[in-house]
Amino acid sequence: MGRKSSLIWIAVLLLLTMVMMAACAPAAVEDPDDEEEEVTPAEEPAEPVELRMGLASDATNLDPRLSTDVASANVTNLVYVGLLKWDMDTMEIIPYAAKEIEIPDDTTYIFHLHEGIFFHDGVELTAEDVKYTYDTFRDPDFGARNIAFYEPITEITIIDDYTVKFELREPNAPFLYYLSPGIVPKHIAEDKGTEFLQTNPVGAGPFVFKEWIPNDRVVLEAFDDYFEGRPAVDTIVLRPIPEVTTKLVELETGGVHLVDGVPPEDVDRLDDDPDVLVTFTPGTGFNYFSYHCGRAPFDDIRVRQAIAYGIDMETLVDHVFYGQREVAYSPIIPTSWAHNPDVRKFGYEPEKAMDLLSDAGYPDGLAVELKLSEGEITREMCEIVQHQLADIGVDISLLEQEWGAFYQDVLDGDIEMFTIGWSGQTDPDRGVYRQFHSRNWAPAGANRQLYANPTVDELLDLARTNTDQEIRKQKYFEIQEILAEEQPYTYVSYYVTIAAHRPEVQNYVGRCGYFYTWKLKDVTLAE
Amino acid sequence: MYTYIGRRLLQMIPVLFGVSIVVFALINLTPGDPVAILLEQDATVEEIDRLREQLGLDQPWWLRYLQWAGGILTGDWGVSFRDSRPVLPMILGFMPATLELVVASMLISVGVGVTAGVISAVRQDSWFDHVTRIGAFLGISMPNFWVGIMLILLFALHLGILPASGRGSLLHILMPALTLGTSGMATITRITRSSMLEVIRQDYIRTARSKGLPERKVIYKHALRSALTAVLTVVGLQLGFRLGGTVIVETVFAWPGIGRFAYQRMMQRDYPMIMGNLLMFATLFCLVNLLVDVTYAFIDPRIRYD
Repeated sequence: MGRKSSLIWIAVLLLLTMVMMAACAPAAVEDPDDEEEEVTPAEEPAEPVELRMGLASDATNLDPRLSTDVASANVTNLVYVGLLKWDMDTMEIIPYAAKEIEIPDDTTYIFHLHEGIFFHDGVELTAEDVKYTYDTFRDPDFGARNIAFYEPITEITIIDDYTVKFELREPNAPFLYYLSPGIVPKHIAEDKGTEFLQTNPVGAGPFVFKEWIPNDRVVLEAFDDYFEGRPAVDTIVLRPIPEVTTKLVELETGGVHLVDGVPPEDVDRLDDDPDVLVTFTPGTGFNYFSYHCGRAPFDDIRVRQAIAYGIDMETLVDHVFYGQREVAYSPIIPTSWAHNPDVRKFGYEPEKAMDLLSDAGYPDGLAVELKLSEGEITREMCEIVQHQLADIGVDISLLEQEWGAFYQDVLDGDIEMFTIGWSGQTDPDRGVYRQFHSRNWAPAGANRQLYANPTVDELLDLARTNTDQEIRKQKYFEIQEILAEEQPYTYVSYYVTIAAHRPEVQNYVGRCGYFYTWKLKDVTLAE
Repeated sequence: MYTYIGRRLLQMIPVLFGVSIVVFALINLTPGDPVAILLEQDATVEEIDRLREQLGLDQPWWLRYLQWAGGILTGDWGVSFRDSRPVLPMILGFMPATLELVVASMLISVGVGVTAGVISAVRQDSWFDHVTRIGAFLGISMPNFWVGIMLILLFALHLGILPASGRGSLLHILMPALTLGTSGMATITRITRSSMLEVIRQDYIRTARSKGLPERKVIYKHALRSALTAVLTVVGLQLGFRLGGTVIVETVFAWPGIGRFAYQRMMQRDYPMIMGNLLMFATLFCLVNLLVDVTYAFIDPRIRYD
């Protein structure tokens, strides 16, 4: 075969390879209704104010009914309006699209909507959209990930254009806390199908979706007709930058104005930078050690208490988290109205720990396997605990695993001692019910440590079904006292969200996790 | 040649089939329940079972494989567990960014590597040769995540002349391409140098010189062409591995390519996406190998395919 033919075949194969890799799909998902405006020479628009954010990860799905991750919520919280929303200062649920909530009895909620809330296509948000949204949440065929939150709902009735009634099977105190996801436009969802809103969100929130280039950026523009007033910035660009060093360089060089997920070890360095301001916001979770409470040695409370006495938690938390977190002692976070600050706290008392072990039948100590998922901070924490517990005769062997394998072992009960965390705690029920009720033993539920206490079960049920907050608070206080005493968890630290922004970012108020972007509509950029 | 290429393309089918079975079995044997990872940590067994049924994971693995393979034949690559969206458009959406990065890095690796290797061989034991050999040693030794971070700190933070991350202009691709191309550049330099040293000692090269041909022609037209066969093998292998090995560079530079995306989905046990990425990478690897083999025939007229 001649050289010419070889060349032709090389070209053909190159072309075939290129076609395989060609962008059949558009690289950017753009707003299909986007139209360019004509500008006359006499009306040059002012330079748009663009707020750029560097975040830990990219969104996965922009339909609020189908996504459960924080990265997606960062976008949907800006594009959509929920029936209710969180007041992060008080950790209480407050009206949003609903201006008023009427509760005629324990199982009935009537929401009165604001008039004049418009979706980004100009159609008004009405009760019909609310009913449609929550009907799809409850529909098993739709596939909403959080369907369980809405199973208590038996009926959703439209009273009029701005009034909708929810009826529940039985009293469910946390129910209101699950009504913050965005309301989707029924006319668009039905007209364009399920997949459309997953990449082309259309809400009534402060920002209009313009573009999503996966793993590169999401671009949102201010909605002029937002019912609470137009946002101060014109554009928000959310950029997923997973490598922390790169993200911080972008902040320091002005590539982005605001970042989340600042590592504790970088705080001091950033504090010295005049172009960076660091913010700390209480998180919605905590990390902890736990045990298999269904078999020896950790079926004995004394052994669990010995572990608590044998760890110098103040020193550990101070060292591992650079003094930026508080030692935890309860599963309900300090910012919650149900947090009990007066529960029993175990200080570092190794002598007492050894006495307890001896009483429990382990005068010579014991050997325990501690499982953890991979991560530098977790590993460091466990190595310190390994060292400390060796002093009281507890020989810890560490097994670090990839997350999927680790979590599988936890769910299967293939654990003696392990460390993990909880986050996303909104209502206190979310922080304790599934974790400690005996009907939720793993793998059926989140009570992975197989803890059981009938008194706790009863208190959890009462707190869940009673809508009087003072009564609920009393029950949660009792639950926390028992859990502190019996130590199914040995708590480590409460999470803190560390963010950083450039000084030209004004009116920024730090928010944590799922609520990170909620207050961004008030942010401005100084010149 | 047509017969040969046609035969190679047909041979790809059982290769892809075999690879897909092995990977499908491996991901199903790997610890970690994709449903548990998808849901909140406090999901109940009812929620887990419901989602498992929706995703088809309640069926035996061999049935799920047959369904997947059957879908591939009809162009249906499945729906992502994580994103609830079709797999193929998502993969194709990420490919251009990776292709851009890989091609740019290969241009750097081959351009610099071959040039440095040739000069190093022709001027063996000169200062240039020594510097090149030390540079090649360093290039192979330095982990690319470290190289990337150092480049960002130097050019983005301290000098402020290049953007630290993202994709957009030519300036955005410089550092990621250099990072990805560094170790390959070093390898190509060494291979080129050793191949050239072997070739320039051949009798026909002495004959060419004795005939009075210009040295440039002797080196680049006669010697290099013979030496390129070995270099091409390495380039082909590197191209294939780079297409599937960009995850670290894409993560460091927030480059929106398929490598980083594939890694994320692997950690999340997104089976349809894992299989889709596998099929894409395996196909590309086979095509690149075929391209390299055909290119041999162009470089060396003695090689014939029937």
